[in-house]
Amino acid sequence: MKLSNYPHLVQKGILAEMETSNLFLMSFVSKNMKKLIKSSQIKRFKSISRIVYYYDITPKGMVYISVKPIFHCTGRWTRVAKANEFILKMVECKEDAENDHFVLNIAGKLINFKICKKGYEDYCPVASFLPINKVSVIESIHNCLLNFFGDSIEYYWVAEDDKLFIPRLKNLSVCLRIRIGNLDKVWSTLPSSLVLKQIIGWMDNPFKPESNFYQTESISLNLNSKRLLEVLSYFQGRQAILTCSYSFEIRGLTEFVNRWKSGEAFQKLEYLEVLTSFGTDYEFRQTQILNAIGVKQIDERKTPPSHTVPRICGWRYFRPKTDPISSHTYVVRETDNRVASISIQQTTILFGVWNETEEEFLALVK
Amino acid sequence: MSSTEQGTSSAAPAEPTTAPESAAAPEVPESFYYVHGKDKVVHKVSAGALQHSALIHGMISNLGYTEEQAKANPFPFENIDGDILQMVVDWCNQHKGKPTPPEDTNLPKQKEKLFDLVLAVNYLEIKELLTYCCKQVAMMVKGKSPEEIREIWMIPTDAEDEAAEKEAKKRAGKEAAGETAAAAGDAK
Repeated sequence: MKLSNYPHLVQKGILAEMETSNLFLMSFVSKNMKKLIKSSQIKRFKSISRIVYYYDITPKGMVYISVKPIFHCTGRWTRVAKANEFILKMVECKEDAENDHFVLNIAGKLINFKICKKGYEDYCPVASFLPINKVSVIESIHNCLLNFFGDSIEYYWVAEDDKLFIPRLKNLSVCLRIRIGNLDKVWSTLPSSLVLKQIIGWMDNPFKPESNFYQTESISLNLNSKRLLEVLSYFQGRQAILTCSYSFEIRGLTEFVNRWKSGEAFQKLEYLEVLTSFGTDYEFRQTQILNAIGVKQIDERKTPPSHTVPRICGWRYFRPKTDPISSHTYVVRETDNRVASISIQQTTILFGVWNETEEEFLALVK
Repeated sequence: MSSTEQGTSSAAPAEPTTAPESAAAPEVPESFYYVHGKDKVVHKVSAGALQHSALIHGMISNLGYTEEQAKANPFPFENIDGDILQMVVDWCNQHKGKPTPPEDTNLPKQKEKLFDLVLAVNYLEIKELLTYCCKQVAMMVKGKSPEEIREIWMIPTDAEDEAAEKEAKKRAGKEAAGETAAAAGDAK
């Protein structure tokens, strides 16, 4: 069966039915084949939102595309049947390659591969290398993927807990997920110039106001009330989800809103979610907070527009957008007349910044 | 629903036999058309089944044939082997008026048969069946190394591609030179 004997549209149809890992391997068959794949799969590659590098507990890495999850229902249980599409895996090995390997020239570096034929990563190509070559192999793989899929895709490196090896590569965003221990301890081990895409973790100790930590685009932190006030003062990123199990000083919130309104700070901010404990006099405090902030009101009989933005969600596809904010209260930034919806519901404060000016925003009210 | 009978190579098709179509007869009598492949075996197929093929559907929608006219004028598909056309007709009959399932496991496993089926289905413009076929072809290289893929699909190496390109350029150059010489001769 000669593939080139098929009409171009059929060749395109066959390639469209192949899994990404297969297409990746096929791109090594010849230069013309690589050209054919790239030219015929433009739409498919453009639809890839992010490629994720992830190291699990063993010294094994995986490179995958986050895809819309496929759910599988069995009786009363629903499980995620597929949430990632693997491109390749990486394994650090102590010895030379096994017999069934093949060698590929990955961006100028010869790397041993074999096909994994077991488990849920069925038929995934696996790159194996000596630990000493880890940095150069990952660099070559990254360059190869950039060349194959293009640089319009977001490439995420997920670093967590004890696997804090973070390569410095072109177009690579880094997500830090700390489940054990505290952020500041981990932070001290990272390069001082590093600006992260996303941080998830626990924060007990303070960071200096000038720390790059505050430039992280998205943070999702558990912290105490003191740290919460600090983050609300110094955060320069786009999205923050802050969970504080203690009661929280209203002053921190009013200062935050006032600084946003004046245009003095938080200019990149799109979404803030604070989950906190207000104590027993919640009803009183809700009014008190809104009064202190100086919010504007939309007519109660009308329906306010709903605010949501694409979540900077790192490597996951789940919940691709922030929780919608549909609130009758809002504030306006003095410098550009932009609006932010504010919602205070029980123990949750939501703050969503619109691209619209006040006039445009009010035109959306129904 | 469809029937076949060994035809002859003459222009007049052999009389096909008709198999019982289904237990419940349709309220409106269904029209039938006739197709044959390289082997001249004529297949009687309902218009409903033929709707899967955009090519045939386009051909019949403007004809307005009577049953007799349709029988006398089977559509000839001389570029399609008889057994392949039979597979296509069977598939169209099986999936007549039904939503197509996400997978079709009844496609041929042999490489050459599948290759011919893909070409036929592409020619007849049967979109869903083409998707199944493409999937089946794609499955052939699942879990294979680049070298194995090259062997299965007979993909030339870079060196072979370069040699072929050089050869094509050389041939084009010669043809252009020949045309120039001929034009010069004509001018004289």
